[in-house]
This record gives sequence, structure tokens and C-alpha cells, in this order.
Amino acid sequence: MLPILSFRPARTSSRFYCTLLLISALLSAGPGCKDDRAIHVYRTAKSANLQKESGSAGLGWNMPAGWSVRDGDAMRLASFSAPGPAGEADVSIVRLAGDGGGLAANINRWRGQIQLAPLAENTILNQMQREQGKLGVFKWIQLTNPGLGSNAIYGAVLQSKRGVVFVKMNGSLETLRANQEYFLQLCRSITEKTTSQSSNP
Amino acid sequence: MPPLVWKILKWSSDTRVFFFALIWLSFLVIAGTLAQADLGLYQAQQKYFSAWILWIWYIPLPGGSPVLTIVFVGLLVKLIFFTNWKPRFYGTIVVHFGALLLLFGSFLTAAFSSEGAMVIPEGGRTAFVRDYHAIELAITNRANPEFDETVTFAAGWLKYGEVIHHEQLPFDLEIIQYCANCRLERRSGPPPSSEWKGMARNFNLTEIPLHKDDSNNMAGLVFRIKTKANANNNQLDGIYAIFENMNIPQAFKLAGGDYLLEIRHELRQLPFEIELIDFVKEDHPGTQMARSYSSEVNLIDSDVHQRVLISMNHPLRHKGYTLYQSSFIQAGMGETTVLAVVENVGRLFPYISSLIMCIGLLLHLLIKMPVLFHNRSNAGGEQ
Repeated sequence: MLPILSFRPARTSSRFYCTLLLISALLSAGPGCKDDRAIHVYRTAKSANLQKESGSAGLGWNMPAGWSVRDGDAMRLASFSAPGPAGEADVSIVRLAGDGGGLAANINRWRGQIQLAPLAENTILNQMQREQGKLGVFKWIQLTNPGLGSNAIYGAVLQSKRGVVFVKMNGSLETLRANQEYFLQLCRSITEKTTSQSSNP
Repeated sequence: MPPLVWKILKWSSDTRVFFFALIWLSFLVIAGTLAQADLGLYQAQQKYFSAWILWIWYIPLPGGSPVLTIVFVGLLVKLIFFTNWKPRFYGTIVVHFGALLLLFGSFLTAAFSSEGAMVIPEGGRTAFVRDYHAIELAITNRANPEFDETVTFAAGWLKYGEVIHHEQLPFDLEIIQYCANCRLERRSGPPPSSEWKGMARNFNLTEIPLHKDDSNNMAGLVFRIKTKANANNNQLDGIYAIFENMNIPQAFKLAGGDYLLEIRHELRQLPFEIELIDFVKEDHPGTQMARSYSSEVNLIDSDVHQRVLISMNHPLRHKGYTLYQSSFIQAGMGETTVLAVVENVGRLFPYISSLIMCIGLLLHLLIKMPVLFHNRSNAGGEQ
């Protein structure tokens, strides 16, 4: 504990109060400057170019010929319909931050959707095939359940800078087989939109 | 004169307090710099330098803010009350004044500055800047054909139990969960009750540790909507979830309004607009690596248009804002410029205070020179 020296009164009281006022004003102004409970109300013209993040969230891809875009949901970056001999297949692109919950967890979730039992991660990895795309090497897997009619899932897992990208094609096995190459073309074409940083502050 | 206040002020001006404050500040700089490798720049700044309390394990220690405050107050008190205002001390007085100005400028920067990004595609224009770090909840009513009306709530509202209420909204929001970085997990079973609606029916938001790159953090919010009695429609009441950059944001119609709910980085409106006319990128010969890039923009301020070129190391300064060429986006058709927009009230203080301190040192040297020469000539005479 530092020893406090004996004080002596200030030369003038006005100097004291001016100092105290200045210090108080500074200390009270600081915390209030950035009001983290601020509420703002404003209007913008319908044509205003607000900065909306693009629906692709920094990713680009080439939709295969013959496929069509369909309405998605809050989770999907994109949804497509892939025509085939046994009806349409539903194709989705989803990106999740970080590891997206893990490879095994997501593959087993897909397996669960066609009523297949979960597998250990090593077994899943052995079943997955590798392909080269614009985002680098990615893995994909074919999931089929003969006991569930012809429903099947083709799924691909790609690594991007801002998380893991999951591409899933779901439909009848016959349609999936007919669209397998298109599915892989889509996965290979997925790329990060090019950015570059300057050294400016 | 309150004796206790005098004791505290006198204590803060003690040279020993300043000495130990400097040692602690040095520790903070070293610790914060080392922590930056794991936490990232922004989180290390917040934890070590901006915080009032630094928690190491469960021990509260002073952060950068209180220490710098004590240094400032001590220097101010010493300068006003305990300084000998004789001409031979004018040099040191000026240096101290310069140091005070430097500390004051850093306070202004910490309290008032903001920075963010402005993204403009070629041919587009905007007056909005997206903050790099601050998060807000934005509720936009799109019902009017000519304009959108947005109500935003800063991050201080996004805490468990907070009830968001505004006279322009026909509903209240009760915050159930907020996470600065979250992961979406599909529910393995049904939701806890029928109250869970929309995406929250099928997905959980799980909080995960903050990523050291703040841009990789995805904020998420779970909230309960309760429509007000005068809305005459409680079918929307329930628990919903939203997260940053949802491709299809949560929206619903109520009481004649068409409401869009988003959790996003704060959008601030500048007092002027920027229109991107052309973005030019030069590559190093034979490579696709950018050598330089620049944005030719139209600065639109109150119907006055002014063409400006913003390039690397040549920012645009206007109305207290500085716009730097930060990066760009190339995708498909057209290019998009990304400008870093900084508002820093205290940006000139380091320059002014450094100049004043230099002047103070020179003044001190000039004042001391006759004494030095006199001493030297005396020493030569004795020999």
C-alpha cells in the first residue's frame, strides 16, 4: 500500500473545483458515449442501396444445366430441383460456421433421415470418396436404404474459409444416379468470392 | 475543502503512483500482445486495454481504462496544483501538457470513434456503413410502398430477460437467449412445446467460443414474441430464432405491417452518400495478385456531386469521416468495392501532442543551456 503523504490545502478553491468538474465530466462522459442500449428509428427509400449480405454469403457456384432454382428456407444458401427418371431430387447448399457440428454428426444425421443406423467416424470416412473442386479436396458419400424403397441421399462436405459447406441431394436412387455427375459438377464449382485486403488502416 | 478528496487527488499525483501505473501498463501491453495470438486483435483489445476489470482466473485486476484514468488525473492534478510555475520549469510544464493532451486524445478515440465497412457494387450508391463489431437487432416494416421504416436495438438489449418494447411495434420481444457466436444444430426430437415456431421448431442455437477473427462469429438470438392487445391477433405469439446472415430472414405480417427481423452488425447512416462509378484493379505483371486498386466515386452531399478517387494510401476525408480503400469483391458480373470508414474525433491529438512535447523539450533545453555552459566553463577554470 503506497503511503499517502500529508495533504496541504489548495492555493485557491476555484482551481480545485474546476479540476474536480473537469475530471467528473470526463469520467462520466466516457461510459455514456457508446450507448449500448441505443434505439434508433429511421426510414430508407425503397431504392436505397442498403448493404445486404448476398444470398450466397460469399460463395459462388455454377448450377448444372437442366436444374432449376426453387424456394429454400432460412437455413439454405440455395435450393435446386434436379429432374430425373423417377421424379425430382431436392438439392440444397448449406454453410455452417466452424466445423458445422462435425463430419460424423452430419453424415449420421443424413443417415437418420433415411432410417439408417449411425456409424462410427472411421467407418464413415472409409465410405467417403474424394473429389477435387475449386475449394480444394472435398469428400462425398452415397447413402442408400434398400429397405426404404428407393429413397437415397448423396451428400458432400466442403471446407470454406467461413465454415463447412454441406451439399445434399435427396430423392429416389434412380434420379440421384442420373444426376450424380451434375451433383459433382456443382460441388466442384463451389468457390469463395475473391477478396483482397490492402495494408491501409 | 473535503480532506478525503484532497488525499485522493494528492495520492494520484504521487510520482510513485505514476511509476507503478507504468509498470502495470507495460504488463498489460505484453500480456495483451501475447493473448492476441489466441484471442484475436479485437478481443485482446477489449479484454486487456478497454476493460475496467481484467479477470485472470477469478482474480479481478485493473484493466487499461482505470490505469490510464489514474495517470491522466494524477498528471492533471500535479500540473495544476503541485507544479512550480516558475520560468525555469516552463519546458517541463509544456511537455506535461502535451502528455495530457495525448491521454485526452486517446480517451476521445476510445469513447467516440467508430469504424466499419461500406460495400458498393459498380453503379450502386449507399450512405450506410456496417460496423465491424457491434451487433444490433433490426426490425424493419416494409409495408409502405415508398419507404422502409427500421427500428434498431443496440447490443445492450440482447440479454436474457430483457423485454423490447417500442410504440411503433405491435408486439413486444422477450429475449430468451443471445449468443455472440453460435452453431445451429438440428433437433433430434420434437421442440419443447408448440410455442416454438419457425426455424426454432427444428433447430437449436448452441453457443460456442468466440472465434479470434470477429468476422467468423455468427450471432444468434432466441426470443418470444407477444403481440400487443391492440393488434387483435395473437397467432404469431411464440418463440422464434434468428441468426446473422440468414438467407431468408424471419418475417411476418401483423396489424397492417410487414415486419422483417434481423440480427446483424450495426448499420450507421452517414450524412452523405457514396456512388461507385468505377473500380480499377492493377495486377502484378504475369500474376493475378493485385498490385493496386482504386475506386472512382461520386461523393453526394446535399445534392452536390463531387468526383473523388479513393486509392490505397489516398483516402477520402469528409465531415469527420475517413474512407479508405480496403478491399474488393470480384464475382460474376461487375466488381464491388469495400471501403473502410473510420470516424475518429481524436485522430489529430497524437500529432498535436507530439509536437507540443517536442517544443517543450526544446524549450527545456534552451532554458537549461546557460546553466550547462556556466557549469562547463567553471569546471574548465578549476582545471
